[in-house]
Amino acid sequence: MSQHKGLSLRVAAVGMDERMRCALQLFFQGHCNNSCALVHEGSAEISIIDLDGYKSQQLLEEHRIRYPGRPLIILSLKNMQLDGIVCLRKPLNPQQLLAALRQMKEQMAVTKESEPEQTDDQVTRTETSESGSAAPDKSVHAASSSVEQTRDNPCLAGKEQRTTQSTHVAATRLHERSSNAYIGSAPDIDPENPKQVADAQYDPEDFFQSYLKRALSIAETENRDVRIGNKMGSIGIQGQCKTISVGMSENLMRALSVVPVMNGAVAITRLNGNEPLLATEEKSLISSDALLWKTALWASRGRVPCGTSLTEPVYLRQWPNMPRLYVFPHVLRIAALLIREPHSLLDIAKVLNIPQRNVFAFYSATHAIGLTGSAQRAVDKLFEPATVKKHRRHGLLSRLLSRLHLQ
Amino acid sequence: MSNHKIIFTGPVGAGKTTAIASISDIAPLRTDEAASDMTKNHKPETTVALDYGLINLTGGERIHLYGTPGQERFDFMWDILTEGGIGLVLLLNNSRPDPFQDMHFFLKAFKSFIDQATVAIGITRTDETDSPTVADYHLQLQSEAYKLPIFEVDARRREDVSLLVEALLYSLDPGLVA
Repeated sequence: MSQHKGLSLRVAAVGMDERMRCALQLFFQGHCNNSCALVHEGSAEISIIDLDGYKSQQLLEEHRIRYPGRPLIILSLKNMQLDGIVCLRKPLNPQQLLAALRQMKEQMAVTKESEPEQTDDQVTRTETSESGSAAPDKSVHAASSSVEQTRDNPCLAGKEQRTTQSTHVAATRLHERSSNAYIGSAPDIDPENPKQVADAQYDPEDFFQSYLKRALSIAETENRDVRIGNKMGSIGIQGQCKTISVGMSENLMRALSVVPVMNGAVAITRLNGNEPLLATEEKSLISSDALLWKTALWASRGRVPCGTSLTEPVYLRQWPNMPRLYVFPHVLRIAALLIREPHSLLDIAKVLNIPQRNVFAFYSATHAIGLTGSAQRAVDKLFEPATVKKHRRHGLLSRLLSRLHLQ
Repeated sequence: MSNHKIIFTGPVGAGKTTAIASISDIAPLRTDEAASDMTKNHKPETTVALDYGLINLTGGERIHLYGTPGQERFDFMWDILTEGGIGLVLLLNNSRPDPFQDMHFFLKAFKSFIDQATVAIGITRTDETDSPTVADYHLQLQSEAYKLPIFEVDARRREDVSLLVEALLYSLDPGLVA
């Protein structure tokens, strides 16, 4: 059975004999649950090179010339140190190799983030394979053909036809480093300092997220197709359809989202029935919540919408659908605490002992998709929130969490 | 039997076997057999006893992952299986005729365990059938005052299943630190 996992890497084994390749394949099957696959070096994302083989040094040099910039893992019986290359000593510790692969994957995500002409992992692709079944994962192969289908009929979501295009993506987990682009790096504020409190706020109305929200509202209330964007790229929203076609690069979307929108920089266009949703054929699909979540994170960068009290309790209506959203550090912990009872944003950061910016980002993103708000009930302000009691198996559960993160 | 265990349950075809395989350190032990009853309408093979997977922790501790058989005639095993468990992962097949009924059935069947532990719900096969939505499931639970993590998951994706299990653990103790 083929598995498609979070790690998901195409790996080339360079300078290895058949037995070593076989051992590596078994490692991928056992420790990576088949999420990594051995492929020909031409189609690989990373390469593992055995430096103890015949002419291996030469192989390494040739490989670096042929595939500049490709992440490399070097295996050797000796202690090696090479700039920009992960070196592992043989015999290999499976956990070290796994950690190295994880590191590579993260590096690739960060690099991808900064590349000018990238497509975003989070922007969704269509899939035709069966989720939740034991069927082979066909998503990679199915992606292109599905996009073709959606071009012909991008809103198959007719009520009589329940099987629809999908906006599925693998969950995307942002680690501390890569999450800075979304939640910033601002230090904690002093709530007694009015300037610092003001600096921790932003006005969503000035940002692309509010334009997007307006466009979604028009599409829904007027039941018509709407396009939002500019000459560089646009996003198409179909009336009554929760799926959005994205025809702009990730970089453009981010550039539009992180700074206040200048006059005329973004246009919202109501389309008549004959007009194509997007001018470009290149597009990907995303759910409205995933797009709002992302643009709100970019705009807020660890701040809260203006007018949000940092000291009054806020509520969380329901858990966000996390596997379909960007998962930034501590987001699950914040949700788990806030779903129990209303807390103030400063209180959450204090109770969980985490940076305030993570809590502020959580509030901004969940507020954008309508899941959070100010708790208005008198009872919410009557008592201090209950103390979070440690679970009787706190240590065990923490170790399990660490294990899940490491895999 | 060690008490460190997480139980995966749900109706036939919800992806319990696959979800366990996604996060298990070992090749899961399966007891699939050719379906001979109405189950065969959903899939040719089904779990007739248990699925079993394992997560090894540092220090030699182990978390056992058990998948219940999807067919209700095996429900006599459920009480035994859940005894001392950490929590319940309920997977629901969105393409079934009435997934809400499935949800209520399993929440009721495991109520005593859920009351002392907790549950996280994963909705599978949403790429086949986009209705009901996750929001609809939340609405269904509103009257029961449950505020559970309900996620769309692809049981084949380790990251999806991992997030669901993490939400289960944080629901037990938001103070956990990985």
